[in-house]
Amino acid sequence: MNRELLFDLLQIPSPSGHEERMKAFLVKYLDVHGIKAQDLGPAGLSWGLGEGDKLAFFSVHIDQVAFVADRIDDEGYIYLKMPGIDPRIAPSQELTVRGKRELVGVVGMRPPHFLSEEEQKAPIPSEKLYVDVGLPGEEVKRLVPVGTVCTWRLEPLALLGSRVTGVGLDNKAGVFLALLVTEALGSKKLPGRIRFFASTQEEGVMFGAGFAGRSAYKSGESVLFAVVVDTTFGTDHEVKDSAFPLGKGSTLGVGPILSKSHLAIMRSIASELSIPYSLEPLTSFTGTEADVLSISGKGIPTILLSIPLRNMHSPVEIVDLDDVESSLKLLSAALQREDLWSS
Amino acid sequence: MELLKQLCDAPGVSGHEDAVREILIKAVGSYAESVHVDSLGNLFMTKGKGKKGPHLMFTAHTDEVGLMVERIDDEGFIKFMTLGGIDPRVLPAKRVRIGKDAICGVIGIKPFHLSDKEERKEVTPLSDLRVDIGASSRSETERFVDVGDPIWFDTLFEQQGDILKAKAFDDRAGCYMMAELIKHEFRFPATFVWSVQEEMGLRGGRIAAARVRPDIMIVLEGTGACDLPTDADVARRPFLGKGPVITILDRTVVANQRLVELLCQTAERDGIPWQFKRPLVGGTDAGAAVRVKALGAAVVAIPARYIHTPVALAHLKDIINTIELVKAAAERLREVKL
Repeated sequence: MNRELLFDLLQIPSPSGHEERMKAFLVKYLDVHGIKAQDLGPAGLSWGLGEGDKLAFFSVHIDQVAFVADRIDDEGYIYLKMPGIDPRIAPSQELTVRGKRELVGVVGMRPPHFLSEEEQKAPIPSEKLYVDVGLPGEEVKRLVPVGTVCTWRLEPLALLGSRVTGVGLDNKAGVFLALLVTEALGSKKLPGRIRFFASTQEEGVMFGAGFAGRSAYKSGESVLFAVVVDTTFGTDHEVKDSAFPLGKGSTLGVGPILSKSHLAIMRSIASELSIPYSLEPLTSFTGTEADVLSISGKGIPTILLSIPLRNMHSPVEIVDLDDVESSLKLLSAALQREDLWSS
Repeated sequence: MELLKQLCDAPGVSGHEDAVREILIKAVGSYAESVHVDSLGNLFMTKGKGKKGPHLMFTAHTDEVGLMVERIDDEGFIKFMTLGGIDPRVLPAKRVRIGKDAICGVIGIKPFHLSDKEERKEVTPLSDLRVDIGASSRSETERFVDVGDPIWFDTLFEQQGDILKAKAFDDRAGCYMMAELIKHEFRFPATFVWSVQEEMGLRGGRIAAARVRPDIMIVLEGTGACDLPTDADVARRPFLGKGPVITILDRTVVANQRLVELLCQTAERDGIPWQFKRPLVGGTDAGAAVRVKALGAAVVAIPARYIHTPVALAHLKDIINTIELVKAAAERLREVKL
């Protein structure tokens, strides 16, 4: 498997609302593979495969969670907003402050020498968390406008076996899978057209997918089904419920908002090809683009495939590439099957 | 700065200081008249043998705070203990390296989405944290990791103008400053000691002092800067970038008043900025040494923000100024009646 491509994706900062660099990378990458991507402006990017009247969507979000500079005090300490991030993991993280100039920063906290035992017992509330770039206040105020995004400063890294850790694996593992599926299907005869969406601003605001859904509605096209690829919670020493083991395949979502008939076909293909997967039960809210796409326009039957991921929304997210590999097999097989397109 | 970078990036949690020692021997061993390593791992270099006294000893500790493997569980996760004073609040979601092969791992977290309101009010206790190296079973982890292996923070040195970012400025900054000082010709016999296990209760420094028995001891440290945001009405010194930090008293020693005066007066004379350390914070090898021999001890440090955490900030000018101050003050040691 082309690990290098994933590592390239992991090194491109793509905070929600600031996905330009990721878009540029994807345009270039797809171009090399003979595919012209269409720029959807702030909503992301789209590209197509196959031909014919039948149309399916394949959507991945390309944004990642990040910190935002909220206020800078006179000494140059930058206070942070942290949408979707547990303030308890912020202390002592290294950040790249993406202001007028990129700055290295550290989320500061008083060392134990200056704290009582009592003070060490409570988490530091988010409004007291700040990033320190070591520069005088005036300089920081000049270089770091309020609203500047700050991202975790870590290179991707291979762990044992097929596991990797990196910043923004949610959802760069999904973007990686979408690119692999695109490549795998590029030379294949498909039962219809697939329109891929690399959408923006999923985290928190769920913006890009809404655009994708509306685009079909506006053009009057009817979408047979949509595939959403995202990440889900991986089990670890502590997290056992609502989570799925790494290395045992991705999850297929099951629940009221997802298509039952498409799920049944996905499951039968998986068992036919002996591809491992787990069923992920989800109620009214999946926390993914499926929530939006399934009720776009006149409604789109939606399949949700999620890659198990540990330590979600932290700088130490982990996925198992075996799960990407098995998902690639499943999705590329399924998307070539007439039954999925005629369900 | 290449040597400081090497020293900060090197692993060296207490009891596992070998890599730091090797870097120092390679970098400055050739400046010494003798090089010796004792049973605990203290590194000694001497200069100026035969010169008239007083006998001066410089000390910086090679160890850093970190973690140690306590046990490996059935699923291959690693439970760990802390070595030295570490606030458990800095540990979640950090990258670490483990053991002789420097295996990569991460300290995992429970995702925000899955923790309830009550849980978010609590600090995750040390006993609930694990290192994850990507293994799926105990046997897979055991192929790479042993109980007792050191675990250190996977942090890299970077420079941004005068601001330096790294782990372990406490006390690789001191190690570096001593490596610069040994290149200098002092007027007296001098022994340079890079000590071990300071964070374990000043263990290396104690036997080093017993061996060297100096008249005067100068400890070079990386101490905590306290110029951090606070609502409390407390002193905020020392400040990053405002010069060498001179100790009056800490939790282990009362610095020799004549040496303190010498340091302050020399700084004033030479126009070197300086500041006092907040009293009764921390401790150094001087505290162990004065219990072995009645000697005059002083502690000079660079201020570093966020010591004892995975990543700290220091100021280049503080390092340069501290080296200059110690050199200049040492020239005048004979003026001091201890």
